[in-house]
Amino acid sequence: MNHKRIDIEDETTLEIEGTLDAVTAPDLRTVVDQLVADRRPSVTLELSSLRLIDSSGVGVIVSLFKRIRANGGQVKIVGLRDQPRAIFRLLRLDRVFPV
Amino acid sequence: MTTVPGAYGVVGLRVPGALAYRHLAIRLVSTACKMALESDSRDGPASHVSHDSGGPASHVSHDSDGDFEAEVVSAFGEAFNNIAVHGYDGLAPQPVQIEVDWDHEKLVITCVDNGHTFDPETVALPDLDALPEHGMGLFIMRSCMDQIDYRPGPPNVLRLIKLRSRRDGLLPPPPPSSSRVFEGVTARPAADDEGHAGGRVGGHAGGRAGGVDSDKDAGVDSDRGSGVDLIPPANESCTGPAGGRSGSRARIPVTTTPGEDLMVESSRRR
Repeated sequence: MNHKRIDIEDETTLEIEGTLDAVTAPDLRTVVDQLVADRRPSVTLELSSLRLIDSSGVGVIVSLFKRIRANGGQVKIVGLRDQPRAIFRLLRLDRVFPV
Repeated sequence: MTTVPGAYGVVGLRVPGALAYRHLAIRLVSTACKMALESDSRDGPASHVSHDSGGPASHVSHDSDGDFEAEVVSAFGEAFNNIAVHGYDGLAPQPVQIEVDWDHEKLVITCVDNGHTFDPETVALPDLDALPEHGMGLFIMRSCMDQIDYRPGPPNVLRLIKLRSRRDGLLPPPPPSSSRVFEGVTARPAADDEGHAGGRVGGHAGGRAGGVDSDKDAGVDSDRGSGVDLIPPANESCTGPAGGRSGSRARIPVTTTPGEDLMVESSRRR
């Protein structure tokens, strides 16, 4: 998994590519911790290059959503497709993040 | 079982039951799916059919060969996570044997490990409305496969069965009451064990930041059960229903001898 964080004023875009699973999720969790610590008000996950996700990866994204929302911010997801999109739908996360 | 010549294949791998080998194991399963689908196109009309019937929302859409592979890989990934993180938790590194068999009727993944067993009845189903951060693995496994069998060991034997052709939807109907299953596991209450306050999707009543227990530090679901059919406690060979809702039954020989090197082979019998 590779990721890139881009901050433009209040907007943060986090691009994630590759595989987000039990192996790589801990790496993303540190990024999430920093976003929360920075109290970013608007976070967009750009997932068009995310190839595979498992429940561990979903857990980190849900954690990000909850924590940013708890700070009064919002989280959006764009570019979700293929297997990650199917998993989000299966877990009914499309009700939280339109996909 | 009707066997179509040329449709059968089997690949296997024996790796340490550790997350470091997860990607390698997934590559095996992914390759097996591709080989199975290729056998369809090479050997005759595809028996795998498209499904996008607008079934229950909890079903992964299944409208292409790519989805077939994605579902199988998704389910297997969760199974491997559970073996690596929970099965071998606190134990010296030991192998997990993975075998993928397929024919025109189904694809079967068998995982054999000597790790901790688990009681499926102790695992709660996820309350998706509460936006869980853990405990979704088994739900994904069940949703993506047509049947899951588990026989506690040693060795533990987990079988994930995917039909090549389904009549409708993705999930099999609830199994008959005569079989030992765990469909009836009590769903997690609105306030779960992580202190989430539940609430509906779209709310944000959870709010708990990073507090996780030692298991969850690994970012892996702590579910190794519920909704799993127990494989009958046959001692040597592991056979059982593989037809899922189709009602057909096939015998699937599975070698479960501890320590045996399962398959470093890839065979195609034409």
